[in-house]
Amino acid sequence: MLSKIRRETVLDIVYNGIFLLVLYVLQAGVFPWFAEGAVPLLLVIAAAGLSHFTDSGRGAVLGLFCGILCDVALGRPTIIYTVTLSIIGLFLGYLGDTILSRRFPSYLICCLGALVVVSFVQMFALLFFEDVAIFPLLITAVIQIVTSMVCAVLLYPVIKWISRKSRR
Amino acid sequence: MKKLFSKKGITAVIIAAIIAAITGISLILNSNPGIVTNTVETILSPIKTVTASIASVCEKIYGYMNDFDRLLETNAQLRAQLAGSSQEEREFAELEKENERLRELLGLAQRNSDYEFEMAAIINWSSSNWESTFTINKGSANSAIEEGDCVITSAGEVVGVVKTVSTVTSVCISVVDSDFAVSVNLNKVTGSASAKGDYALMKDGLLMLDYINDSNKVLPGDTVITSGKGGVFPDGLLVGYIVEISSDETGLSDYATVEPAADLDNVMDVFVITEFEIIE
Repeated sequence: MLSKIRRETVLDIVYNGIFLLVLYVLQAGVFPWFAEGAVPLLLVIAAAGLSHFTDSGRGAVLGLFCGILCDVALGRPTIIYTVTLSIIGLFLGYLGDTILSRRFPSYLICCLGALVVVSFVQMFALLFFEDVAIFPLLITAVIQIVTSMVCAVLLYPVIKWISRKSRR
Repeated sequence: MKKLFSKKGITAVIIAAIIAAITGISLILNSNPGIVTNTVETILSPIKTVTASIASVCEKIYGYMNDFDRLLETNAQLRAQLAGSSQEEREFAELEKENERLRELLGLAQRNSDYEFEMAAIINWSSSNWESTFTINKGSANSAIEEGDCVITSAGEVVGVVKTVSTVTSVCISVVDSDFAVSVNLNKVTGSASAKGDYALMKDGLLMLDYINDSNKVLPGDTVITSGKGGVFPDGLLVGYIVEISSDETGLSDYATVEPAADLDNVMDVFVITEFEIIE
């Protein structure tokens, strides 16, 4: 019995690990070459999507790993996204476990919410400390959210499949 | 002896002799092989053709079987040679490029004997939509690179500035990032101006030049070079070229947009200036 639980845990880690690693490679290595200025935030989608299908504790852990990878992918010290996505994971995990249904529309809403929060975090310093005009920032934010939401739709079956495997 | 001279045997010899005689006479008289030979040839002609075809096929099969190993070996050798040639060609092209870069760097180093360089390669451009940064493969453990060091190409074109130094890598901001700023001189105007990254222009791969002393003297195509003031960048490094001159929203002052001299989309190898003589 114990070995079965351990086996399932190891499999969960392997599934999630491989999935996040693939998304990291796509976000950091592939998309920047042909989607300059409109790189989708795949790791944010993963954090939001996977958390939505699980509970708060697991969501926070997933958010943490996604955040670390996101910071590295964006050439940042592991601070901003690590913290932001952990909180997002915790919050969406809680919502998914209590209020939200674990279906496609709520998944999309979770991804959209997470992307809006992350975009705001990204533009915060530019907006308030570097005095950049808000309009070009909003354009970037909208483009980023749109491209990311397209990817969110495409990633839904994979995220749902991994979540199902994890919940067994 | 009785068996040798049997009836059948004698008959056969006689027929052979007759045929030989006819053929011989025909050869002597008409210079052709004779009716018997022709008849036989005509009858056997289709058979000979089939036989020749079979022989040809057999020969091919035999040749194929016999030469297969040799052909494989030759093929492998040729492939190896071809791969070797391609590899050599690539290596040659790489060496040629490196040679060119080193020549340019040598020229830069000779012109500026006070510079100390660290050679580095760009290993990644940030995937962020909000900034223009890149990572180089040199950090605190394998180089003397420090935060604020200037990053240039082998031709002395400014690429960016080191932002953070990790153990084996360093993150640098490029010339078009909104955090970038450097004091510059224009080739036609005395006094200095400030070249800095602008978020709106970053998307177009351009940077902004403001605090121009006399904008009437500035023209598109003018070169923008570092002034050396501030101590971050040495003087004389090429930042870019003026693209156009515009007035700001108030109309009171002018600014220019500058195209970076360094080809940011294709630059792979860079040099970090770790030491230089500061102009007071």
